[in-house]
Amino acid sequence: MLQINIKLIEIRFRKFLPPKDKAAIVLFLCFYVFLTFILNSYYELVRNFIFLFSIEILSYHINRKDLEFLKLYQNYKVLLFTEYLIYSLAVLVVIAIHLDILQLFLYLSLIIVYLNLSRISSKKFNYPFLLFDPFWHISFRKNKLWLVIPIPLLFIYLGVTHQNDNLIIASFFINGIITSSVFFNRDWPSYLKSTVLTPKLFIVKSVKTTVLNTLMIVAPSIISLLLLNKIELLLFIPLLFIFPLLNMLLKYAYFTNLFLQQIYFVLAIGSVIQIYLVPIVLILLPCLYNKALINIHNIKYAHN
Amino acid sequence: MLTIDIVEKRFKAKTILKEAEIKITKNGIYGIVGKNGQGKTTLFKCILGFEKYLGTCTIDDEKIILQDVAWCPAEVPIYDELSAAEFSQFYCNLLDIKNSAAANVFDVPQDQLIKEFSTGMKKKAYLNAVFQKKYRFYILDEPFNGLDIEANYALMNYLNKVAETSIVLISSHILDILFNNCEQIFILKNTAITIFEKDNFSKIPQKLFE
Repeated sequence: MLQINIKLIEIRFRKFLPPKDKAAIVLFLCFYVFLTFILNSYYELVRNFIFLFSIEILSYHINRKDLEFLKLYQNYKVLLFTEYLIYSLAVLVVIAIHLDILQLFLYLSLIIVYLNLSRISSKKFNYPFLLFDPFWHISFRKNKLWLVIPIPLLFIYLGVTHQNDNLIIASFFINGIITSSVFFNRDWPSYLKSTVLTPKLFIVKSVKTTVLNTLMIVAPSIISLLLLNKIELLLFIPLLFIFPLLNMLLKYAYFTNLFLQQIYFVLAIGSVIQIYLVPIVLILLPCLYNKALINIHNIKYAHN
Repeated sequence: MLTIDIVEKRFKAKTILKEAEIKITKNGIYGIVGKNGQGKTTLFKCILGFEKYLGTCTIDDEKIILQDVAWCPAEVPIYDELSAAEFSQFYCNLLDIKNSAAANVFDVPQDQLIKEFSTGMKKKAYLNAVFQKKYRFYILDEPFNGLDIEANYALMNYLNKVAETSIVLISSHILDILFNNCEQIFILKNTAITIFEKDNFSKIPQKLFE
């Protein structure tokens, strides 16, 4: 069974980690070890958010196309469970180090719940998002992100009832991750070439679209904070827009390298935990804008 | 006037196109024919600037730019998780089309997700989106693949209409349709282009299979 697991992991990652590229694999493993180290160092801070790591597994699980095929294997759920355990190794090791049995139990239970989720119907919701960037519709439909929208509201409610502002801040993170995940998709290059907009106007329109679409997602959280009289926490609201804007710029700055985009995005998000690093992220935004502009220019204009 | 002058297009050591020249002076439908792998799609990609090549391609003495061309590749790049109506809206935004011509050449369920469509329906949804605007130049790479007879008929009717004011370049393996509708047909064989006028269309099969 372990051999099948290794094969499945290899299939999943070979798109951006070619099996023969030893350097890339070592770099990826180093990043994974580094992530474990960071999680371990800040465990008390991230303890309540540790379940967010399972969202990636949920998204992968509901979108994988090989489930019908894997059902041929007698214990296919055990097979998938083992595979998801391997993906969660960084989180599980950290929980185990801290002997946090409750978190471990809850995390493993979540994976079991995911495995037993019946296929969510492909009912079409008419989202109100602006269609300049179609990936808002695409992400919400493909990754069933509407399922996650109530979670920030639940965190705000729990934060207020338990007088724990950290839970409200966690809700901002969840909102940030929902809106940023949109930008891990890629346009067909032919569409970038086809647009009549100049690269600068394209970015400006993308920024406008991102801000308005993000507002549609975070509006319930903002209204909840106003109604629950948590005005001081509204100061964090700009962060909700910085996450998706940053990832939008990263997407176009590293259009051909999703892996680099993911690494820089995780580093940027990680820096928010160390609040004094936020200005560095803000300083980087104009540089990213410039790089994105050059990149779109290179994709858009043909070269004879 | 459309002028295609590709001095050379090669992929590493393999030459795909060499001294490929096409000059089209009047509006109408023009066909490109060639066996698989002869470079039809590469020719289109060069014209549209998707591929680097040595030479120039111009329309009315200006460099061809993608946003001024109605381009339909053999496999349409369409987003499965959008509905047909949403895809059309996205296309309008992309080309900044304020007043959509909304040709709706094909009957497609507008509110259904594209991922539920068959290959032919996807192509219809894509073409409906592209045909929201009138262009000076149309390039369609094997547009009849996947379409049913009725859709082929509707497409040719539409293309014949736009060909009164535009240049339409089509590649296809269905010679009958090209014979009936084209002003000229260009055979792509062994990196070179041979031009056939309407009177000589009957000689095309011989040239293709010799």
